[in-house]
This record gives sequence, structure tokens and C-alpha cells, in this order.
Amino acid sequence: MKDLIANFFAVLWFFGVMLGTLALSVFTLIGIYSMNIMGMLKSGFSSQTVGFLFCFILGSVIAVTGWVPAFRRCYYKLPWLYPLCTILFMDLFILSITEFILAKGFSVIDPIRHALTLIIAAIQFVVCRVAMCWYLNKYPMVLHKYDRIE
Amino acid sequence: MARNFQEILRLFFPEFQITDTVQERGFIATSKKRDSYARQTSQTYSQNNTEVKSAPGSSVHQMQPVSPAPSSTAAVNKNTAKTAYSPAKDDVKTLAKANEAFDGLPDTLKKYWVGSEEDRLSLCQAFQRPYVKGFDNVKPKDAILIIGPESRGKAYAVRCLCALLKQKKVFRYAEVESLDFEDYAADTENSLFLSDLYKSLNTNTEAVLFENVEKASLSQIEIIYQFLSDGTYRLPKRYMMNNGSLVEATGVLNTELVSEIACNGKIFVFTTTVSESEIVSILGNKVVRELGDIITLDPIEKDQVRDLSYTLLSDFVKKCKDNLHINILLNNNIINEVGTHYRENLGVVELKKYIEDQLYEPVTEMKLQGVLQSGVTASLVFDEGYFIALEGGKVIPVSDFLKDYNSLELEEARKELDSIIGLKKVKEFVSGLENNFKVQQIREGRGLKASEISMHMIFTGNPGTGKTTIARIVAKYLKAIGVLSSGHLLEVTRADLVGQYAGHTAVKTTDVIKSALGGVLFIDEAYSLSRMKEDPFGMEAIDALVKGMEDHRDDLVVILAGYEDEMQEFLNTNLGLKSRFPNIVHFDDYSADEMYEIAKVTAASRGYSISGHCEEVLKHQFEKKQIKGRNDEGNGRLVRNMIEAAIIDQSQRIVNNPEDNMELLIPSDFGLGSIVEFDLEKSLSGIIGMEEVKNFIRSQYTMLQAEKMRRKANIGVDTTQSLNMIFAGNPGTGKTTMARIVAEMLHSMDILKSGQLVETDKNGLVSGYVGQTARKTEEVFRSALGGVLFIDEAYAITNERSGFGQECIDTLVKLIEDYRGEIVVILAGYSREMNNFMKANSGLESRFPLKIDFPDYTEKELFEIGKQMTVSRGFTMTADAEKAFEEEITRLKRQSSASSGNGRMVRNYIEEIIRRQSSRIVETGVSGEALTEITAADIKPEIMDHPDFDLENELSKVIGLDSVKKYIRSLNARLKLQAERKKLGLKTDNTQTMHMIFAGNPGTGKTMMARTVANVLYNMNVIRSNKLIETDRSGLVAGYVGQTAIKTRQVIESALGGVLFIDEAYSLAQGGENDFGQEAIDTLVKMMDDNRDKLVVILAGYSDDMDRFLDMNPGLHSRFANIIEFPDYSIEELMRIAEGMYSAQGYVLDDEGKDVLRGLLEKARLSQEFGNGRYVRNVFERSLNNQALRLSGESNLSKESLITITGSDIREE
Repeated sequence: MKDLIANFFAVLWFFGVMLGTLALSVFTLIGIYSMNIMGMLKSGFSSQTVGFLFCFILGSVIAVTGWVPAFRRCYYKLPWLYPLCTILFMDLFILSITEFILAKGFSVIDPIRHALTLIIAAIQFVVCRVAMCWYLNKYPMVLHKYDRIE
Repeated sequence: MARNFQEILRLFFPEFQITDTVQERGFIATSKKRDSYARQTSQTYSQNNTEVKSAPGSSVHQMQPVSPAPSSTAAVNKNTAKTAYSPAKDDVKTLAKANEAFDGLPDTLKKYWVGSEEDRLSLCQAFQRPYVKGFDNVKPKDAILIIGPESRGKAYAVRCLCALLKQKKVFRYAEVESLDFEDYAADTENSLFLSDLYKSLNTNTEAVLFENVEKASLSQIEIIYQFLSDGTYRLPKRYMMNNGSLVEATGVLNTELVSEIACNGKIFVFTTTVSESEIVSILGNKVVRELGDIITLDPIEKDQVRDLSYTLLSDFVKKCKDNLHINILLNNNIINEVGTHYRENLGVVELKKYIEDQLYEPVTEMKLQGVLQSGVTASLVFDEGYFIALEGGKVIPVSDFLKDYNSLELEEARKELDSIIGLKKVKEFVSGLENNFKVQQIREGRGLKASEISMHMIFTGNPGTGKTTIARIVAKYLKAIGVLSSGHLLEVTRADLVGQYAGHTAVKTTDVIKSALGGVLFIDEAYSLSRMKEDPFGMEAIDALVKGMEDHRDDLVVILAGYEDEMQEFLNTNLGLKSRFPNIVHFDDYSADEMYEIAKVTAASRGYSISGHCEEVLKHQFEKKQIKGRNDEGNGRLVRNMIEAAIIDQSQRIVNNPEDNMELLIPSDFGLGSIVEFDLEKSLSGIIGMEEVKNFIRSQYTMLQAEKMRRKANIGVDTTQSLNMIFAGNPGTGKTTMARIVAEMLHSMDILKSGQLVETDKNGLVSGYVGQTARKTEEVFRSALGGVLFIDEAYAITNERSGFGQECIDTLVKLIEDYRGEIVVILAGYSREMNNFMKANSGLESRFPLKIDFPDYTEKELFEIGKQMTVSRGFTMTADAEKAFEEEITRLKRQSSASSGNGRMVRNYIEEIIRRQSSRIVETGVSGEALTEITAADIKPEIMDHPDFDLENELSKVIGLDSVKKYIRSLNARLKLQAERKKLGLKTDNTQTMHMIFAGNPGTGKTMMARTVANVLYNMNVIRSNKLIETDRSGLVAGYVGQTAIKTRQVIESALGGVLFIDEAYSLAQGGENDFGQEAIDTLVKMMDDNRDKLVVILAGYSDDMDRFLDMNPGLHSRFANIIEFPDYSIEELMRIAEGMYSAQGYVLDDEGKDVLRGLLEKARLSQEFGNGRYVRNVFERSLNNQALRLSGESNLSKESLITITGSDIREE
């Protein structure tokens, strides 16, 4: 009975929250890139940043899913889910920082500052991305054992 | 190339990992998941293998037990290890299919576990049983009891089976939880056991292992039974889980309280080392009935030993590969050789240890020293020893790198034992142990039953007899012959075993026992564990000790050490102990020869040698020091101390004579010259008189002399006789002196070893408390061992009511018997009393056959003694002095009583003479020989005339009292005349009494006159000092019965040699019949008589009262012949007294004042209570005050007015 209820809530959480959040995050990722960053670069004006907010939402959902044993089951059941969540979060975070740097840099209209901002943003993006690659190469998600047995 | 590109792509886009995961494990995890578990488990299992101590390595699976590959390398082992447990694909975990998994399980098990076919089969069947029989998840799946010797691999078999069954997917977990009942021995309330059990039953395991089930307590067995029968155990208390352990939850309302422990459908496996019949009796039939299987493991057989050794060697090879990076190649020879070191009684662990010590350690050492490099391949070969053969053809003997810890070999121990001097009995005992053990082993070899014998021992003996040394050798010996596994010696005393509070002791003792396991636990002074019957701590320690001895019967030897008597008592107080220590070894005291040998060895160990001249004297010295019952400082320790002292003395000698041999110890270093012969006549010649006593001593001496001669000629005649003596005689008759000579004589004849004289009396032997007397007596007696115990006034011992005296006598009698020949007891006392005493104690009479009477000295002898004493003190006597001395001695002898006469009196008198002589020579200032000369004047000092004493002058100070003055004058004259008569040698009446009564009214000058009398008597040499002790009734009479006599006696004693003045003496007789005053009077009268020469008593009081007083006590009348009336003063006398007072203070009484005073006195004289002189003093003092008052108002005072007393000052207002 207990199991049944736990399963019920786990399904509810997965379909009601987890999937939604994941979808949202994917759209946000694309959105940040295509609209905010490209928009700023095109217009040369700063715009409002949304990246960290979505980072927070996605992070919270992943955390709650990890904490609650019943919710956690989706990770065991769908082995690809955990790497997806982790990598998605990392990407989102890196892009959010880039967005943040650009927004700050473009808030003052000054060609030198713009150029500098662009350079910093580019460097930041590359560095973060390399770091992420290095990390995931060293600790591959595939081999992480989701071994809390049943 | 394409692969490279893909890799780079994957590197820069880790998102690929998501797709990889999907590919690897599917979109939804199903069978892939199980695969991953299996992989993990296989790792766990291989870890397990290295963890389990008694288990072969994980490489074992490679091995083909019948013919192992001659050159299987570790490298190969390792590579295959990873793939060894490749999981079967797509297995279905169902009950029905589980049975398939058991097919061939015994054969699989064979790869890991060494044992007979039947054992393997029955083990597998036991595990299969529930799957055939069916199970629920409430009761344990099965209960298996495995019986097998220590270190047989019982637990390992279970672990292997679980791991294998896990592989075959029958079990979900490979781990096995184990509980060892031995750990819960001290857990009386089972709380720890339950907590651990709960944890074990709730972890993810399939089987729970209960080791050493024979050690389980009754309550633990009951718990087990509950599980086996019901599947659950209802807890007697409620618990809650806290950090994984059970915590008692009393008074906590909580729905999650744990009220029962469920077994969760585990398999219960019990292991034990005891035999089947025994374990059945321990567990009880009801538990045994619940057991599914009882498997008795066969011991490892010869062909299996080879498997075993191969298994262990493979493990060794793997370890070399993993840790040292050295590839070791094995061959058949090595496997066989190692196999020969397997001992059934020591088990697999020992063989593993052997490989560790003999092979792995040396190889490690080689690696450390750089002999072997990383990555080399070497083969291990055996050819009368282990060798490492390198590829280049180099051969290194392993023994070169063997750590030399094996000094504990039998030869060594035997050699060490042989090097011990003396102790023949002990050596025999130790070699007896060895022989027995050998025989037992032979019996075992022939299939006979080996009888286990208890090796616990008791060493009794005096300190320094080498108990600890022997214990250490015994430990080595037992290790060498294989009884003990470690062979160390743990030396403890009571303090190490006993704790500080109740309950602590058992823990402490158990700890000590644990640390002694495999060796010898040596408890020194063990008897101290039960000094008293009610010593809970000692008892606790003993109980824990006994239990520990039982628990570790095969690997612990306990040796108790202590003095023989105390140990005997100790064993008597603890009945259980006696039966557990069948081997009692007594360490005899060393003989003198042995001690000499020890001395030589001791000296040699310090780089010295003992000169041959020392032999005789040293042996003589040792002989004398070895006293039975008093050897606390004897034996080995004595030798060591003597050698050490000699080394110091030798250094001194070397400093003075640098050319002497620095290594040689000569007799003078030991403080020994040649042995001085005792000369009896010389000693006796110093004693005056007592011919009878001397003759007796002489006869004893000749007897002893003859005995000595016989002994020298090696003729054995038993002339042993009891030499205890009784000296009967008055004090001062030379008993102590004679005792000292006897002691010396017996010492010189080697009858007594140390020859000291211990003098004691009743107080030294008898104590005031129950039970203390025997101890006190024994202490004194022991201190006298080897010498003479001289008990003065021995008859007094039984002269008391407490009964302790009898205790003392009984103790003495026993001790005299026990130490016959080591001591001579001399009882001394008055002849009559001693006779009665001996009669009253028949036990004593027979033990004191020699009775010597010491007669009183005659005057002549006393005189001789006196002369000798003076000479011995370095003084000389003139002829006159000698004559006078003889006279005085004669006089003193006559005056003395039995107890005050004899030698001591003479000694005191001589001392007095010497004092007098000293003061004389200081006063007269002589020089030269005269300084040590005693003249007649010193012996009879001239009666001093006190020329400055003038009686008339003294008397003239007193006003009036003519009648009294007349009496004093007559007394003076009489005494003077007596002195004159004495000078001329005429007869004098010495008996005349000097006591007086002064009767008169108060203030008539009685006290003053008493002082004058004291002066007169002192100056006439009647009394020694002119002190006057004044007292009255209150000074003599006390408040309680019996105290008065004491008080009176004290006062009188303080007045001895002077005058005792008792004021208002009549009041002593004023009380009623029962008044204590009478007691004072009686005491006074007696003391007056006793000290006639030394005391003059003056009683004072009112005339009438005194008359009545004397009438009432007729005895007093005769003793106080002189009653001196003190009449009242006349007016003229009183006036003179007053004038004397005024003039003495510098005042002048004017004429008016005189008139007034005269009038005043006339009036006052008529009154009954007229105070005579005292009244005048009062008037005088008042007048001074009045004058001061009168003059205080005036300002200008002339000298005259200041000194003048007028009539108005005197007049009474």
C-alpha cells in the first residue's frame, strides 16, 4: 500500500513537474541563446536576464527529485534521465553566466566596453565549456552507478 | 581516424553521454540493471576473498587441485580474476530454478574451499534444503550447525557458498553477517548482543553466522531458540533505533518503538569447535531439534593439505605481485614442502602464518634492500631451505633475509635452563613437562587419545630463588615444545589484576589474561589476592582468573608464585584453585655452594672475577646468612647485593693501590678477613662470680666443640638437643650478659647463624587486641631467627586476665617447633615466678630443658663488679677510695631489696660516684692522672658544713615564737651532735623521726617556720634539698574512688628528699566514714614509713583541730612525736611585726599612729578570729591605701609627708 502511494506520487511528480521543468529548461536554453544573447549582440543594448531564474527552478526540481526516495525512482527507471538533467543544468548555467556578462557589459553604451564585454563573454563561455567537457570526460555520466538497489 | 574524430566529438560534446546511456542501458532500465549489480557483486566477492583471513586468495579458482600448474604466475591469476565471475546471462530468480543452481555447486566450492567430498556435499545440501523444503519469510530459512576444529574454515565455507549462490542469483546478497559469542561473554544483560543481532538481522544478507556457539550463555541460547521456533524474539524491553543501534526507550511514547526482532528469513549458521555430543548438551535438545543440518567437518587430509598449501601459496604469489610487483613462480616441490608444515591442531591460520613469516617477509626484505627489483620474475625453489632463483641464474637463500625471531627454540631454552645454578628439582620438573608432551604427541601420532594435562603451576619459595627466571624459561620451553603459541611471560601482581571498584576487577583481570594468551601469566605474590576472607576484589580477580584459565585451556599457562606458607593458605581459602594447579614446584633455598657458584657467575657478568681465597669465607658467610624463615634478603638477591657492595669496596681499594688487579675481588673487598675463633674462657673471664652458670656454659661448649670435631671427621652422631634455656634469678644478676655470651658462643660454633640477641618482654609479645598477639609474637620471633630470643620477665606473659598471654605462649611453642635449630629461646625471670610459670604451661616445660639459676651476688662479688666497672670505664681508685667503696657497697647491699640489689645497683652507684668525681675535679681544678682518679671523697663526700648557714641569723628574722625557736635550736644541736658522734664512730640513733606537727592559730607563722625547718634539716644533711612542698586537703584528695591514693602518692613523691607541709591537715579526717581523706592518710602513713630517710612531713592546723585529728588516727600519733605549739603573738610582738613591715617598705609610723595601732590590736585580739600576723598585714596594707588617699588632695608634698603613716591612716573608718 505504502509502495503504491509512493509510486503514485512519483508518477505524479515525474509527469507533472519533472517533465514540464525539463521541457521548460530546454526551451529556455534555446530561448536565452536565440533571443537574449543574439538579441543583445544584434541590438547592442542590454536586456533583462532570465537565465539564473531558470537555473534556480531546474536546480530545485532536480534536487527535490534526488532527495525524495520515491521521486528518485525515475532516475533508476530511466537511466538517461540523470545525465540529461545534469548536463542540461550545466549548459543552462554556463549560458546564464554569458547572458549575465553581456547584459552587464552592454548596460553602458561605450564601444570599448562592448568589445571588452564580447571578449570576456567569449572567453567565459569557452572556458566554462572546456571545464565541463573535462569534468564529464573524467567522471563520465554513463559509468556513474545508480546503484541504490531497488 | 573516424574513431578519433568520434572521440574528439564526444570529448567536446559530453551530451553524447546521454545517448550512450540510452544505448547501453535502454530507454527504460530493465535487465541491464541487474547486470550492473552482478558486476558490482563480483567485485565485492573478490574483495571478500582478500579480507577473509583463513581463506585462500581470489586466484584460487585458477587452481587445479590435483595437479597444479607448475608455473602459474600471479600475473595470470590477476588477469583472470576479473572475468572469473562473469554473470550468467538472463537468469531467472525463481524458487524452482534455484535448485538448478545447486547442481554442481559442490564442485564449484571445491575451487575455493578445501575439504572432503562429503563435507562439501553436506554443506551445499544444507544450503539447498530450504529451497527444497520451502520457506516463509518469518522463520529462518534454515539453521545449520557446523562442527569443526579451530581454524578449519567453517566461516569461510559459508562465505564462499553465499558468494557462489549470489553469483548464481539464488541469493540476493553475497555478504554474511557474523556474530561471535565470545565477544558477549561479559555481556550479562545481553543488551549488546541483542543490539548486534538486530543489526545483523536487518542488514542485507542472506545468512547470519553465529561463531563459537558453545560460548553462548543460557539466555543467549534461549534467544536463539525463540528465533528458530517462532522466527521472532519478543524483547523484554522497548527499544528505539538510534543511529543504527538499539537504545532502550523507557517512558518514551513513540509508535516506532522496537518490540521484537524478526529473523527476516535468514539462514542461521552456527559454528563450534567442540564435539557433537558436547554441543548438543550445551544447546539442549530443543534447540538441536530445530536445527536443519548438523555438519561435522572432517579434518584436512593429507592430499587436501597439498591443495591447501597450493591455495595459500597462490595467495602469497598474488600478494607479491600486487604489493611488491614481483612475479614469483612456484613449483611442485615448494607446494609439497609447505604442505609438510601443516599441523592439524594449529589449523590453517598457522600455515598461512608460516608462509607469511618464512616467505613473504623475507621477500619483502629483499625488495627493501634492493636485492629484488620491481617487475622481476623469480622462482621460488626448495632445496634444504628456501631459495629465490632469479632469471639470470642468481640464487638467493631466503634464510639470509629471515628475521631472527626464532630464538625461542628448544635448544636455546634447554641451554638456558642448564645454565641455571642449582634448582635440581625444578629442572627435573621442566624436563618432565617436555617428556610428557612428547609422549602425548607420539600417542596422537599413533591415533591414541592424547590426554590434555594441566600445565598451570605454583612456584613456592623464598624471594631470590629464581622463580621469575624459571617462569621465563618455562614460557620459552612451552613455546618451543609447542604447548604455547607465543611463549611470552606476562608478570603481574595484585595491583595489575584488581580494579578500583566492584565489577572493574573482572574486566581488568580479563584484559590481563587476554594479553597473556599464548604465553605464561606469572602472578607474583599471588597469595595477596586473598589476604582476607572478605576481600571482594581479590575474590573477583580469582574468579575471573579461574574462568579465563578454563576458557583458554590450551593456550595459556598460569603460574602463581609466592612464599610457601602463604601460598598454602591461599590455596586453602580457594578450593577451586587447588585442583587447577596440580603442579606445585618448590624452590629450595640455595645451598652455600650454589650461592658461591651464583656469586662467580654474577661477578663474571659484571666483568669481575672472585679470587680463590674468597671461597671459604664467602661460603661461610652465605651459610650464615641463609636462615630458614628469614630469607627475605637471602638467596640470589643476597649474592647480588654482596657482589655489588664488594665492587664498590674494590674500587676504593683500587684508588688507593692503583697497581692492584682491577678485575679481581679479594676477601677484603667482601669485608671478610679470616674467620675469628671464639674464645669462651676469654668471654667468661669478664664475668664475675656465677661459677655455676659458667660451668654449665662450659659443658655446653665442650659438647658443641666435640660435635664440631666429629663433623670435621665426617662422623655423623645425632647429638642435636634443644638449647632453649630458662634463666632464673633476680634482676641484675647478669642474665642478659650471659644470654649475650651464649648467643655469641652458639654463633661461633655455627649452631646459630647470625647470633644476634633480641631482647623482649611481655609488652613486646602481647598485644591489646584480639588476634594481634600471635602476629606480634611471630614478628619478634622472626626478627630473632638465627640468633637468641631473650624474653625477660617471661612469667608476666600469663599474668593477665585478657587471655592474650596464652595466645602468645601457644604461638611461641609452635614457632619453636617450626624453627628448631634456627633459634634459641631464653626465658628469664625470678626463680619462684618462673617455676610457677613453667608448671602452668606444660608445653613449655618440655621445650626448655636447660634451667640455669642465677644466684644473687655476694657483697664481695658486687664489690669486684664495681671495681671492674670503674676500671672498664677508665677510672682508677685510690686505696682509701676502695675501702670506702667496699663499705658503701656493703651498706647498699643491706639496704637493698631483692629487686633493687645486684649488678644494676652497683652500676647506678658507680655512675653516681663518677658524677661526683667530675664535679670535684672541675671545682678543684686537678690535672694529669688525678683526672681519672676516684678518691674516698667521691665515694663518701664530706658532710658539708654549709659555713654560711647561721641558724641564729635565720631565727632572728622571726619575731616571737620563742618556744618554737627553742625547739628548732634543740633539733639543730641534736643533729650536730649526731654528726660529731658519727665522725668518732660512736653509735647514732638513725631511727629518730623528724616528722612534726605545727599547731596554732592562723597567722602565727607556721608556714614560715616550716621553711626554716626545711633549711635547718637540709643544712644538717638530713634531707637532700631544702624544698618545701606545701599542700592541703584539696591537693591530696581526689574526686573518685581510687584516685586519691594516686594523687597523694604523686604529691609525696614530688616532696621526696624535702619537706612536705600539709596545711589544715585535720581536714583530711573531717569527712564521714567513706571519705577519701582516710585514703590519703593511709597512703601518707605508708609512704612516710617507706621513705623514712628521704621525707619529712609537717602537718599544720589549729591546735584543737589537730588534737582531735591525732586522736582519731592513733597511727599518726606515734609517727608525729613532735607537736610544736605556735602561741598567739603578744601586743608587743605584733607591734614589732607591724614596724618591721612599715620599715621594710620605707614607711615610718608616727607616734599617733603607733597608739592607734596598739589600740586597734588590743581590741582585735579579743575576737575569736584574730589573725595574728595576718591581721597586722591587713592593717598595714589598708593604711598604705588610706595614706595615698589622704595625700592625693594635697599639691605640695614633702618627702616626710610621703613616708609618714599617721593615726588617721590606721584608724578604721
